Amino acid sequence: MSLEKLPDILRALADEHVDYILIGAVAMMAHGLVRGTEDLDFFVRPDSENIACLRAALRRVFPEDAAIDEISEKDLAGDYPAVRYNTPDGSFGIDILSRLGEAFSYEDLDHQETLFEGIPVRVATPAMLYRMKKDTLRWKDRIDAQKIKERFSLED
Amino acid sequence: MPIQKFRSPEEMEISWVMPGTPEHTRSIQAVLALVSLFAPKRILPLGVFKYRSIEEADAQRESWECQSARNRSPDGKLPT
Repeated sequence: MSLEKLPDILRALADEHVDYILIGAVAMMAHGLVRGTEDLDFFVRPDSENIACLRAALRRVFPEDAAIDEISEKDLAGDYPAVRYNTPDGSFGIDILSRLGEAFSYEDLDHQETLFEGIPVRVATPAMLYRMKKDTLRWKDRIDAQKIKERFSLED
Repeated sequence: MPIQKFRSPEEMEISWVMPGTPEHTRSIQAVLALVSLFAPKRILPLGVFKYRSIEEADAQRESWECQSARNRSPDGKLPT
């Protein structure tokens, strides 16, 4: 399956009215900085209604996967702010975040609406992505941060 | 824009195209197709996994990817 389900997932998130904000490589692509990825990363508002919408969206795309029921607002709002869902063929991962340490939570993220392959998506702004990526340890994030900074003429 | 020029491979690594244009759609589809075609096939453990931090999540993802690479290698070692 890998990446061909990506548009289906984004459309399902929109159709189920999930409050989410894309970060990571797909967010970069939505801003025109196109690079490869094998994962989808987004923040969600971790309340029961929204997480029910998220489960419904994922069930639309992966109707046979009972594991989706394990995604809970109790975890995301509590001790487990990072939840990963690996899809049924094992090749594609979805990182669902409610906060990053003490620095960022869903409510803190500046975001905008745009179109990704014709699908309405909510995506962190370039400045927000830069702030989130610039001090991380992963080399991929540091390269992303540099590219965002250059393209959008951002200041530190 | 059928041809783009770069001064170095580093510039090529992440290209920029105007969002919302047909070129943007083509670029996304081309990059995702290339990843599907050429990236080594990962086999991740199925289901839902919970982490206390993004660092913990990233560490496990890297561990899965290393294991997936080992499983593909004839001698069970990571490619160098």
